[in-house]
Amino acid sequence: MASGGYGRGGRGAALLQALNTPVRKPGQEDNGVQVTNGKPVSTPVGRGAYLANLLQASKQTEAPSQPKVGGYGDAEAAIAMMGRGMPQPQPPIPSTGRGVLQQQPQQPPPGQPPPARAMGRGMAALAFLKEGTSQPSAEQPPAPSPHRPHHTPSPPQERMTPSPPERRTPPTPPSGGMATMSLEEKDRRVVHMSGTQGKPMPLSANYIRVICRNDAVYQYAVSFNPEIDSRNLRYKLVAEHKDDIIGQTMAFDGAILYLPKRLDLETVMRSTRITDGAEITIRVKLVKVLPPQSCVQLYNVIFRRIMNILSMVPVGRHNYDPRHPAQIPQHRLEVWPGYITAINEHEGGLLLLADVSHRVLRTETVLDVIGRIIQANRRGFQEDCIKAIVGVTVLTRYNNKTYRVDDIAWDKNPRSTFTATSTGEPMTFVEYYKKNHNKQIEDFEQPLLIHRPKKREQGANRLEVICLIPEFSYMTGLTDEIRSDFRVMKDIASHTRVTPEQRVNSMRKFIDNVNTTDRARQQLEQWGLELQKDTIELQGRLFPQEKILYKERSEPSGNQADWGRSATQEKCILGVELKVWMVVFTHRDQKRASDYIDQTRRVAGPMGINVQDPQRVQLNDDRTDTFLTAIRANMNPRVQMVVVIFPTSRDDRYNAIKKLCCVECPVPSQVIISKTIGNPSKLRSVTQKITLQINCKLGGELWAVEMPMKTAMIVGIDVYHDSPRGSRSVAGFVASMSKSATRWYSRTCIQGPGEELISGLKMCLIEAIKKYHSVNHGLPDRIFVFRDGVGDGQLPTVAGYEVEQLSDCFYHFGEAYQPRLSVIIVQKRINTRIFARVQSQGRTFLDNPPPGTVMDHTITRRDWYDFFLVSQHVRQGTVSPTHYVVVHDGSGLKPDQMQRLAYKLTHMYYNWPGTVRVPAPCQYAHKLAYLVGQNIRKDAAIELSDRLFYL
Amino acid sequence: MAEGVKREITLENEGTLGGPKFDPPLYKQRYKKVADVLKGYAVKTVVDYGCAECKVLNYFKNVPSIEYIAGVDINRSVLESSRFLAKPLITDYLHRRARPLDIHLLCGSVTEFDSRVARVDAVTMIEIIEHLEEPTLQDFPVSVFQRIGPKIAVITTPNSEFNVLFHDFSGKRHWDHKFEWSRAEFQEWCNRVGEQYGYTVSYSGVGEGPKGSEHLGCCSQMAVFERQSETPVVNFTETEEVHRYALVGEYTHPHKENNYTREEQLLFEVQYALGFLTKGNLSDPEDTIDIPLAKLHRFIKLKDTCQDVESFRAFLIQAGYVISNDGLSVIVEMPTSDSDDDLSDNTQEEEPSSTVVAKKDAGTVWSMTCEECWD
Repeated sequence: MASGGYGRGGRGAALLQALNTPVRKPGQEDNGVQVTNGKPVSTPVGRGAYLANLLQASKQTEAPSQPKVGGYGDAEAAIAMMGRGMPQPQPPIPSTGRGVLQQQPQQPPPGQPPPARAMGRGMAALAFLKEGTSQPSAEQPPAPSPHRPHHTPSPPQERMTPSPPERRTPPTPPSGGMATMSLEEKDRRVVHMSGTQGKPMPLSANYIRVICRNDAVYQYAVSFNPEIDSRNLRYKLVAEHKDDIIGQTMAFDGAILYLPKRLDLETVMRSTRITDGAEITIRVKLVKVLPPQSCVQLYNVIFRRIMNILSMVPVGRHNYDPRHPAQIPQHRLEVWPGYITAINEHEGGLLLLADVSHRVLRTETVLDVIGRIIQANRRGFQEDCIKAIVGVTVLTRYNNKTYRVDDIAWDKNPRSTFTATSTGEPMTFVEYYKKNHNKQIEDFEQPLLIHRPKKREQGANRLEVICLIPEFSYMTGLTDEIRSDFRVMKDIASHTRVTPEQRVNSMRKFIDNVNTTDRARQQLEQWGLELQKDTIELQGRLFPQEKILYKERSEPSGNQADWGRSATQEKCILGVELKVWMVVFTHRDQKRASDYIDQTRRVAGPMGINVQDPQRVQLNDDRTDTFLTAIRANMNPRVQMVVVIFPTSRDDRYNAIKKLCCVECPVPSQVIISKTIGNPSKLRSVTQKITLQINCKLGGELWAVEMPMKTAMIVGIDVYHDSPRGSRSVAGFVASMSKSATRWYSRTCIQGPGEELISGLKMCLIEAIKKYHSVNHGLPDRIFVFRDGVGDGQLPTVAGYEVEQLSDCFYHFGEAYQPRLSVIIVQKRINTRIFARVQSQGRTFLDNPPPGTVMDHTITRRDWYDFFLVSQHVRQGTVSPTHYVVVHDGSGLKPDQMQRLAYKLTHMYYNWPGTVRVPAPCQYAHKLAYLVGQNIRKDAAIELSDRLFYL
Repeated sequence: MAEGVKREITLENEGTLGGPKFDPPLYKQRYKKVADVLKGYAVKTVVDYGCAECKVLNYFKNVPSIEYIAGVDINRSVLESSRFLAKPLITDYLHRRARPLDIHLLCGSVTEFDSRVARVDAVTMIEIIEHLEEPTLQDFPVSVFQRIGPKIAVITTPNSEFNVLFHDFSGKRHWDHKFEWSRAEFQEWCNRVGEQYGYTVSYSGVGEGPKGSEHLGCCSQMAVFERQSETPVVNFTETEEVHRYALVGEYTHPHKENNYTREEQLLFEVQYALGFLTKGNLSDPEDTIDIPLAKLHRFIKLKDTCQDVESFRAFLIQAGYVISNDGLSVIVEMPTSDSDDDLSDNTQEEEPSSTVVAKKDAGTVWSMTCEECWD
């Protein structure tokens, strides 16, 4: 297959080849036609989407002929793929375990040119090597990947695809960077998907309208003759013509020039190179006339300049004002106030998003931290230091660089020597810092910090290890340890928590600052831009309160969407009788345990749950092993529930118990920390909550809201990323099994390095549909997937490739089965804020909007079907809306209904008697993924999958 | 440097001339050496002529005594493109200098007078005089030594004797050099100037050559002019503010402003130490923890307020801390987490919960009486 194209051995070759092959667009190809006729279907799009498409194309073409390949980077996979092009029958792969069919091996008809695939640089190189050296292996059938999930072969089937997503970017040829970003903007239509239901609400948001006065922005390509390599020199040569040709306003990156004014189609300028007197010819060619609101990138650059003019300092992605920090000396912290700004073309035109942001900085050196740890724990300090320091990013003052600390070298100190790269002579760190940075090390006894640069950071001299001096390294950022200390977080919050009114006031101050600072304002004026004085005014809608349905009565959800009281007073929809259960506790907690049991039996009745007396297991000590042994000894198949009372909270003990109860002998479990049930005045309310939680874990149902769809299945997906340990991610998957979305089936998939999440999710979806069928004796005719944890950059991939992959699952249930699939991305970490405009005592002020407020126009995305929903109620600070992007909608629901569905689902999280920030399935999926990823690190037993054991 | 002369933007680098290698690079050694001179004289204010890429600022910034730096160059665009180097870094804010520091970047010629740089303690001209046209070379000593009349002036310039060590070398080290002096030529010029304006001059060099080339001197030669009299011999006569230089950038660096009394600082230390020492006990069932006074005292850095445990105990009692009956430890009350629904199955929900508000709104309009069907 690789016909010499790899000669150059790299990404370029692979790309080139990919370019020559038909690019398949999701949802456009017709059961493999493009594979067989080999005619390129030209569907170029913008660069990002284009690359995504390449990726898709490669995956689509490899999927049919080859059982799933685990990793993209590993050698076996490469071999397998090399073999794939050959038209040869696939050997059936035996089914492994209880899994079901996954893939439909489908051969390209013999004699057809093998489809080419794009691959990453490493892959291409690897393939090239393989081709040269191990030709025979390339002929062999694909080797099963070690990560491969269960497969059974199934006969080739016709592949059908769902309707294409609503909006696709129209074709543009692939080409580089800034040049094309604007091309694709041309005839895209703005997506308007708004609802009408609900009470009109006067709202505002943290957006400021940007008025464009100019007709256009002109884009030019600049070339130099002779060629000039230095970007600085290019800039300088062009800038020399500011007075005669270019004008005072320009944005030039070395190749592409943006001007607010029109020059001739081609302008030739001449400059002299100062170093050698050579004459340089500069050709400026008009490439494009852009509508002014589309030059978002350019404007964001301008805003960076403005921030600079306003003396704001960029830290990370935002800008902060270091001149007025709030000090928190008791924690050695500083809080810098700052702003988030982003200018974008929204549904309602060009808007500037501005928000208050805070940056917490630390004022300690690593040496300070080490010193303190030693003081606190003279014996075990090394371990404590590793915990506190390894993994953090430090800032070195002498060169203003940041490094991640990978290790601590206790056997080294500043007087240790290393070989200087320049001279090859040994040199001590003391000498080095004195000589190179003019820094005197004071403490000669400190250990050294080790940073191992990644390959790409190593730079020219290929340093494998960089030693840093703790004395010169400043701690940055908050560690998890600090975050878990609520005393610190409380003090930080007192500086960072702001009300809507304060938030908007500081935004107004910012706008005012821009408008009154001449140099800043000029930056905008040059391009014909003007900021409106105040935040945007909007009309939103408020959905009516939902009715919370209990077994016997129903209740409105209340203004604050909080039904904590009625949840403990009303009979829940389905109370599971607690007949056989055990309570495990240490002898010290005997009294508390007994009080708790009595209280449980008292409070459970009114909630409609029968509770029998449990088996009490008293332990003599609090060792983890003692707990485990006791549970094992008393376990039998009739036990419904294990309640464990911990004397103190300890992660290792918690993990061990959860592993035992979720994997080894599957039984729902509830851990209670003794302190929680230690306060007699709170015991009643605490016990009520625990009892509800236990009921959920047994498969009970607490409350419901009206669900106006009979045969819909609602799916929630969230991913847990194991960041400190790196590679492994866990996806949690839950699917509703009842009409009222009160029962949930759950699965997880643990994603190995290089594995694709979607393949695991497909399997989860198939399992869920099967389960739905066995519970409801019918297949769901609508499937809603709410997916959390997807960034903006991945939206096109999810909308295209992943939707198609999920749709593939349906063929397992017969050709006739074509449920209507909708995929909704749920984003909760967003900078958008929505405020309610409230009239009071003759003036308007801004407040948090009540739960159920929806905003679906003007500030929404220009190119997506999306909306913002405020579902939770907060008592302090500013509420965050949640952003829903409907990337694929086959449901036929109106926007109103889609928004209502999302809002209804935020009522259904059983661990909280109120609305939550995301739909319950996402919250459940999050909880599940966290438990599996953080605590048990294995898939939970299948026996538990029909209940909320992970709550 | 005469008007209109534009210099190549890239820094001169002797390392590229194929001669002896310098480590650290010679320009760094030069800057460090000049900064050391300023440190030695405890200079407070300095003007650097020909500061071009502003890299020297980083060295001057680290001289603790310095409170004002003016970087002057004739080439505005190079100042503009390097001015970010004059800005305070993030670390400068987090770990502040003891003294204030202002940096001005000014565009102008050494022969012009500007009152902003009129009273500086020191003038530095690093590898700059060799770029000056003859008339400017004639004129600038007047403005530097007469009108400014600093306590010290530091001038460095290439040592032309060293050039024989560069391989295949002819001409000058940089295309814009108007001349390169031998040590004798440089010293002759300096002595004459020093004598004229009342300065004593001492000489040294930067960048030693390889063994056996000692007779050639260093790669760069340096002259330090020290004013003989306490006050400038001929003080400048202009009394008004004269601003002939164009201001390209103005940066105020943060410095430590101590808003806290000694006691307050000590209290913060105590709070921090207690927070640190009780960190592991946050989830313990006990509501209070005893921290031995001696241990806490060891932890405190600011010991001058209470040097022994006795006075420390008195300080703590006065600050409202509870001391155990035996007087040996401080009793810390462990705050309980705000969230009272911590069901410990790690069910800390995102909602900061407090007491459940269940005021029933009598006036709630119940608009959804009949549910629609979306099927």
